[in-house]
This record gives sequence, structure tokens and C-alpha cells, in this order.
Amino acid sequence: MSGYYDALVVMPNACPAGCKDCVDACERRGNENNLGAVIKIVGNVADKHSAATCYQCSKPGCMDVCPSDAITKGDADGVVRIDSELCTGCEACVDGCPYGMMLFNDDSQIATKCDTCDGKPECVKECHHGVLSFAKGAPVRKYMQDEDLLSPGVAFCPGCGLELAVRFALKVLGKDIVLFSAASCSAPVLIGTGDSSLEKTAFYACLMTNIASSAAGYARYYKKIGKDVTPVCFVGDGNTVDIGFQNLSGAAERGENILYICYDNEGYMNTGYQKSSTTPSGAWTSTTQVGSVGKGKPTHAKDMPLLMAMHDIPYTATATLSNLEDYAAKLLKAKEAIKHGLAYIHLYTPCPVGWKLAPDSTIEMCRMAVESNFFPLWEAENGNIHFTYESKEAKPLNTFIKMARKFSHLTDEDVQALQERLEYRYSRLQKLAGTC
Amino acid sequence: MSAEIKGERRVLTGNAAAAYGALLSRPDVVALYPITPQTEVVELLAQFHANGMLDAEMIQVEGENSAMSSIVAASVAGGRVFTATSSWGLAFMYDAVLMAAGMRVPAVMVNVNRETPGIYSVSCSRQDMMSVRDAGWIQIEVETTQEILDTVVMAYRLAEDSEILLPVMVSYDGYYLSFMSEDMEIPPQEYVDRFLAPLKDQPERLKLVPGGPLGFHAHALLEDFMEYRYKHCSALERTKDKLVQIEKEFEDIFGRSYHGAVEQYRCEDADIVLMTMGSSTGTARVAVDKKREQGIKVGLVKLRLFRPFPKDIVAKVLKGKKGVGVIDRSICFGWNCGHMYMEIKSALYDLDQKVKLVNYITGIASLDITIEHLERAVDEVHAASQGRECRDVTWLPLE
Repeated sequence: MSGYYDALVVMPNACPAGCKDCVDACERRGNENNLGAVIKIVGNVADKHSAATCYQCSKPGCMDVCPSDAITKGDADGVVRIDSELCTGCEACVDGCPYGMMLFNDDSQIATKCDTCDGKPECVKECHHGVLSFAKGAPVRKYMQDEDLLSPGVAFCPGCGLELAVRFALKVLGKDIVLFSAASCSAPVLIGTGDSSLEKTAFYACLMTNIASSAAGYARYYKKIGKDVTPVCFVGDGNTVDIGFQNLSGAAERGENILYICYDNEGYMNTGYQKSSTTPSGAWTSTTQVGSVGKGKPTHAKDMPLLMAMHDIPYTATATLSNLEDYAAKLLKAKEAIKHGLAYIHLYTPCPVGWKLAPDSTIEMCRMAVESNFFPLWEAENGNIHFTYESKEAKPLNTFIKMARKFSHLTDEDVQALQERLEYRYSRLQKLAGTC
Repeated sequence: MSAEIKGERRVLTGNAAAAYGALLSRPDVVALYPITPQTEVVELLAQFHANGMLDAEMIQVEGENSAMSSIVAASVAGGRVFTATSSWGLAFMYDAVLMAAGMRVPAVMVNVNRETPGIYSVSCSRQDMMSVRDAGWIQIEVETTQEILDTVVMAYRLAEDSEILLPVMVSYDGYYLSFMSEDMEIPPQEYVDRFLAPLKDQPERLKLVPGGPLGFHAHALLEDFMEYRYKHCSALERTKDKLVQIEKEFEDIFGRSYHGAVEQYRCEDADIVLMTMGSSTGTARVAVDKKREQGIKVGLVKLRLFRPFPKDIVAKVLKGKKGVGVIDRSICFGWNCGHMYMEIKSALYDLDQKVKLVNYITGIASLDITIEHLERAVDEVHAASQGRECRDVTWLPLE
């Protein structure tokens, strides 16, 4: 199987106008072998644009189609390399790469691609805008269990953040958990239909009103017989912040030994985008419509993670999909914390369909929510709050908020009002964390 | 036999009897939320737990919905479970009550009968238990404090039987039985253990354990779901014989019997009978005795098992009677009658000879069901049985 390797990370759509320093650096190195640059500019270099290069796929399409076995994937570093002695110049690999990152050098008549400069990429050295980085794979690797506990094909919408959220959580938490879920987007996957389900863990189908209390009852029996168990509630914001709020709060107060993960897609998305208590103010939903009178949701979102932290439970955290190592670390901490009581993770999980967001923008939306402090990443141990990530320079909401077209009707003043609420909440968090 | 048993004789309230019944059954997980008139059950179990008598996980939940939800999951995990509620509490756990039945969870719940519509509805009626009569639970209504304790213990034999696997609700009249003190016996633990021991020899029921792909829920698609319901109904039907068998075993150990689904009192030669449930049965016994002295051949049938409804036994017992007075303590809205009356009427439909049925709605809002009320009922049913005009439904004492 493939390991979790060091990787060249590219921040998308983050290159400033006019800059192609990475390409120049790559070219200088490539010229040693007369093969040219293998990092590319995507978009117009005169405007804001992106850089792109080989992803070093775990199952490389180029390698599959190569008739002369010239392409190999390194066991030690995961880098996909071409043996120029064996390459016949047939270009099958250029077609075999779904990302267009296998290049062909007309002069040498052989294929060429990024080999990360054997772990010391020149492009990264020359990038002065924080776009390129070379991330260490080791911290991720130790979290992950080998087995993917979720079926390869699951019934989520294109671009849904939930699939990654579930698959990743299962990989980190392992097979011995017992999942508690209820009617929600995750229901068809986590509690199945009829006699089939899509995960390899034990699971229990709750009602929307009783996820935490069910998990608590289950945990109490194991306490009675003196055995360890890890009940994990995995449900959406409706089940958590609205109809299921009471029983969650009760379980938190009683110190029930359960891990509760709320994937927050800011509405009742399984039944077609009705508003919830975490729908941001101003957002369109099918029950907070926009018209001559309606202006989207008229009230603020409930600050659920803070409410949970205020129960002074052993562990509360926020997490999202653009910061997976942070998410993984919090899952592991939460799993440990349930020995002492309830652990709660609030996961920002965009819904492309309900938010009217492009399916390929889910992770970007997560990243911007973090970078803007709209969804800051923090954790609280026994109510004691501290940040796990702080953006160096907060991005204003108006630079990205309308990526989700549920906000497209907002006026500049509306966005400004949202921005002010964001700043108020962020400064409140800072005060609680003692960082200001 | 009973003569050898030296249980502790105490004067206890109905609520205390329920708490002792739960204690003696050794539950693993108990989840409770207090509500008048059940609160004493919660307080006593908390006391038993605090002083080490009750070796169970005790969940003091934040509402009844969580009480039912917690014990359902604890049962699915493998535990013996208990809760108690009343009135609004039963209403607030309604979704979880349906879930418990759908999941075929062998839970035992005590429900202390109480009215519902307003916050000052702190009064007796059986409207609460009737609101869940179609939930798929086994429902037993009891008459005395001793019967409360004994029936809670028996309920575990019924619920956890591999041929049944259904939740059991043991109900008794709030205020009348909940707070009334009676002389009764707390059986020794070792005898209760012996009575419950056969459950250990049952085939192990399916439990949710970590480590593999196994799911628990009460939903399925199309005919799979219909089959769930079919099997559920079949299990309810089996309950009728099973209860008789379990009560026989109980009588062998403890020397007390409640006669299964229905108890008959002075019925053998009776022309007419009164039909009751719960606490007013004792009053009815006195009324029957008095009327017997006056020469009216009247008997009494006490209905103990309400769900499943023992329709065959009821039809057999009432067959050939010239009149039946049904004493209801709940209202079947839209029919202007009581629930028991309506169900008995259905049970008698197949009899060749019609039995005259007269219904009395009484005891609503904790109004006393007096000996005089029931004597009047006997007189009216007697007159009706001799062909005199009689209204079908009478609200006592309003009419």
C-alpha cells in the first residue's frame, strides 16, 4: 500500500499577478537535463493565478499505462519517477495522467515530470508568497489506521464535505468505535437502508432527539460491566443545535463518556436546505427566502462550540476539512478525553448543493472560513480555551463569502454587518483564550 | 411454597412497591426523571443506589425522552433496564417509546397513571397509558401495591423471554395507588433471583458489540419492514399464554396469583358482571358483595392485561352474561366512551348471542369511584339485562 509521504503543497489561486518565480526555478534545474520546467502556471500570469504540478498519486495513472515500465513510484518517498533509459517516448503517460501533469519534452523525445527535486524542491525555495510548501508526511501518518472503514462509493452529493469528514474520522478513530447517527445527510451512509450499510463499524440508529442520550445509555452499560467502549455520535447541526440540543447538553453536564461530532453544514440539508440555528444571518435557505420582504435569515447563528465549551466538559474543539492534521489531532484528543466525560467536536462542513457552492470549492470554502476567522480553529480543555491555528492576516469576508451563492443577494452593508459580528465573536474568543 | 417464604412485611406506598420491584430485579442501567406522582420511585431508587443496595448505573437524565432513549440503548448493549414515568413524561418520551417497541427492546417501565391536558392536571386517569396503546408495548394495569411489586418482577420474565422480546409497561393509578400505603410483603432477594434465573438459560439475544459491521435500528424497506411488524404482532399474541405460564411459576415460588390476563370474582353463577381495571377493582368487589346480599347475581371481571388485548379470554368470560357494566377511567375521544368499553365491544362481536354492554366513564381527574357509584352501575346494568331502557354511556357523577 501507499504510505503517507512528504508532499509538495500548492495553495490554489494564491499566486500574485506577474509572479512565476517557481517556474523559473524549475526551469533552471530542468535545464541541467534539457527537460524544461515541470511546474505550470494555471490561469493568466498577469492576473492572480495558480501554480500546479504532479500530485505524486498513490495509484498513478501514468504508471498504469506505461508499456515499457519506465515509470515507478518510490517506496521510500512516494515520488513517481521516469527512467529516461526505458522511456520510449510513446506519450501514453501524457494521456494517462488525469491532471495534465505529465509533460513531454519534444527535444529529448521523452516524458518528464516533477520528482520534487528528491525532497528538496527548488520551486519551494524560490516561492516568497507562501503559495508553495513542502509538508512533512510523518505527523499525518501516525494518526492513520490502515483500513478504510467506509465503502469506496457512497451516496453523497458531488463535492460534499461530509464524505471526507466521515471517512477521515473513521480512519483516525479505528474500527472499535460504535457509531450513533440519526436522520440526516449521513443517515443513508452511516445507518444504511434496510439490511445494508456502508461502514465496517458497529452502529446504532437514533432518533433526532436522542443521539447523545442513546450513546450515554450504551456507554453506561459498558461502565456497569467494566469494559472500555468508544461511542461516537456523528450527526449534523439540526440534530445537535436544534431538536437534539437538550439531550446533548444533559449528557455533557452529566459527564457521559461519549465523543460527539457535529458536522455543521448550516442547515437541514438532507431534506432540502431548510434553516437551522447555525445558518448564518442573511443566508438564503428554503425557509429563509429572499424576496421583497425576506432578506434571508434574520438572526445570528448559534455559537454552538462555545456553548459546549461553557459546559466545562473535558474537551471541546472546532475543526474543518482544510486543516486535516488539526482535525486528526483533535479526534485523537477527544477519544482520550472521553475517559473523563463528554468530548465535542464542531466540524465546519460546507454543503455545495445547499449553499449553492461549486462542488470543487468545498475545501477552499473551509480554508477561507478559517483564514477569515469566520470559523476559527480552537480547542478547550475543561472549558479552558486556546487557539490551535491563527491566520496571520485575516481575510475579509467580502473576498470570498459569495463563493457560496446563498449569500449572493447580500448588499455591501449586509456583508459588513456579518463582518462586524465575526469580529465581535472572534474578539470574544480571544478574550476567553487570553490572547488579547 | 408460599408458607415457607419469610419476606419482610412492610406498609408501603405503591411507588415504594415499584421501587422495590425494580431493586429486586437487579437492573444494570436505570434512567429516571421525576414527575408527580411518580417522583417517589425516583427518590427511593436514588436512595437505594446511594446506600449501595442498587448495583446499577443510575442516569439522572434531564428529561423523560432521555430516560427512555438511554435505557433502550443500554438494553441493546446487553443490559437489564428500568425506568418509570407518568403523564407528560410519557408524552415527552413518545418517540423513544415507539423506538423501544420497534427495536424489540426488553425494557420494563412503570407508568403511574395521570391526566395530561394542563399543568394542574395532577390527578388520576388512564388517559396517559391509552395514548400509547398502539405503540406495540405490553401493557399491564394493576390493582394493589403488592401486585405492583410482583408484576414489575414478572415483567422482566415476560420482556426478556426469547419468544417475546418486547418492552413491558406496568401501570397503576396515580394518587390512589402511588401514595396509598398497604401492608405487603417484600420477597427475599434469593427467591426473586430464583424466579428470574430461567432467563439465564434463554438463547442469547442479539446485542450491539463494537468491532464489526453490525447495526441496530427499527427500520427496513418494503416487505422487510412489513415482516418486522408481522413478527412484532406474533410476539404480542404469544404474550397471552406466556403471561399465564410465568404467573404459574410465580405462584409456585411466592404463593400469590393474579390469574393472568383477567381475574374473575364471583362470576360462576353471575347473570351480570362489572368490568374494571386498576385500583377501583377493590371498591367494585365491595359493591358486588353488597349487591349479592340484595339478591342480584353479579360478578366482577378485572382486566389486567390491556396490551395485547386478551379478546378470546374476555369473550369466553363474558359469553352468556345478560349484562356487563364497563367501568372506564379514560376517554376515547370521538367515540364518547371509554377505551375498555370500546375494546370489549370488539371482542364480543363474534359471539352468537349479544351481550348488553353499559359503559361508565368515571374517576376522571382523581374523582373518587365510590361504592355508591358502582352499586348504581350494578342496578342499572341489572335493569338493562331485564330489558329496561339504559343509556350506553354514562359519565359518573356528571350524569
